[in-house]
Amino acid sequence: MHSDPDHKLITACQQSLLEGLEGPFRELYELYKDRVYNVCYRITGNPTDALDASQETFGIVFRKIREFRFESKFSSWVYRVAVNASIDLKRRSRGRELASLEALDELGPESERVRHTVADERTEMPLRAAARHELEAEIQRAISRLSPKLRGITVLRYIESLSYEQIAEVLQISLGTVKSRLARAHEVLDRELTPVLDRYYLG
Amino acid sequence: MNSNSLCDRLRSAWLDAAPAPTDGAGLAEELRAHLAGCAACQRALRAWPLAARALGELPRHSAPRELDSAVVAAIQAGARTDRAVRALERLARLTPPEQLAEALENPASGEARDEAAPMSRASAPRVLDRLVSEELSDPAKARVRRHVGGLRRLSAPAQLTTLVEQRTRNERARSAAAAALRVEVRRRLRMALGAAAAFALVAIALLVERPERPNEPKQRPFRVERASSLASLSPMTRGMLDNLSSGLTQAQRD
Ligand SMILES: [Zn+2]
Repeated sequence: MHSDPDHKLITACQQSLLEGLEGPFRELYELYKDRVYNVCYRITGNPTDALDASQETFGIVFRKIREFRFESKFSSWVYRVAVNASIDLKRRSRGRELASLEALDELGPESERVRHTVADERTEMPLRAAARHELEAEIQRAISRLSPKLRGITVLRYIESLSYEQIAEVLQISLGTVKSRLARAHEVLDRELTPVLDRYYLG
Repeated sequence: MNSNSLCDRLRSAWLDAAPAPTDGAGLAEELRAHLAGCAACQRALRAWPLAARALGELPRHSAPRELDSAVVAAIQAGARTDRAVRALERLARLTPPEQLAEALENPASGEARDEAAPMSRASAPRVLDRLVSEELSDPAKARVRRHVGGLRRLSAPAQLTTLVEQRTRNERARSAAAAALRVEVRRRLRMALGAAAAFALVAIALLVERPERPNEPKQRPFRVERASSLASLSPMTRGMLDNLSSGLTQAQRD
């Protein structure tokens, strides 16, 4: 698939002796690090696990990039590695996840310690910013309650804005499965989020 | 949720059109009629767009700076693992487990083989622990050791045989010459000893002769000495012999 926008960089990586985070691999890393980190952050639900899963993702991409044969878009492959790394990490540290969610509750909306700075929040009114933080925490909690399969699909669709076709390619499932899983994810999210969203958007 | 139900079709239609209006505009007539009478679908079509919007509006984060160094560490760790795996593969090639030979001699049926798989797993040789820890602690040294151990044995070049033959031939010739020389020396020595003995007799006779009384007829007493070896001769006689034999007797003694 030569229409891949990253074709040139990937080929350069495959043809050169990669020693580390440099050259064409560094360029690919810069292109993807935020996307990978966001997927990992939303699936794992905390910055520490997101960092670990992102690290693992790029470690795998580095090791396997020579084997990439352009049978899918490179971005689809990177997303797949990131989703799987995040879900695996979550499975390994289920206990830690619960602890961190409780910590998020205890720290409250004012705490900046477990959250990253959002560029536009300083321009917002303090009350509005606090409400946004609260909303973000609620949404993150709702995502965390989805099963790993539904969590991956929800993040790819609504946070990364991928088309159904690309989600099917990333997760290697049919288009029908993408839509039925998304519908199931909505059922769960509705139960968790409807009161909160009503309050925030409509109330 | 029955996949053929109108509820499913309505939600699927919304997903297809998302973000779609919540009032059912654009939906097929049949689905719009269903929406008008189905409270669950009305709730869903009100809630789903809100959830989609809320998720889409979540703040995006920049990857933290620590990710750079974490990825560098992951790449290095991956390289170490790759080296260890390659070392294991080499090891596996060098020492096929005995169980493999057995398995090849007694091939089981496919099903039985699958069931027996855990039983037929070869245990790692004891040396593996050491090799892996060497590989991980000092890859460079381990690599040198592997390469030295794997150096191919060389055959001696053909010239070596020729050189050795030449050398042994020379040695033989040299020792034959030395033996011949020894025989010649002994022969000449014997001749010299004979001549020296005769001369010594004359010389001694002359030395011991002393005129006592002019009137008395001269007496010329002499002594005969027989020597079986040079060592038994007196130093004076030996000195004379050395001179007479041009050093041959001296060389023989030494
Ligand atoms: Zn319905």
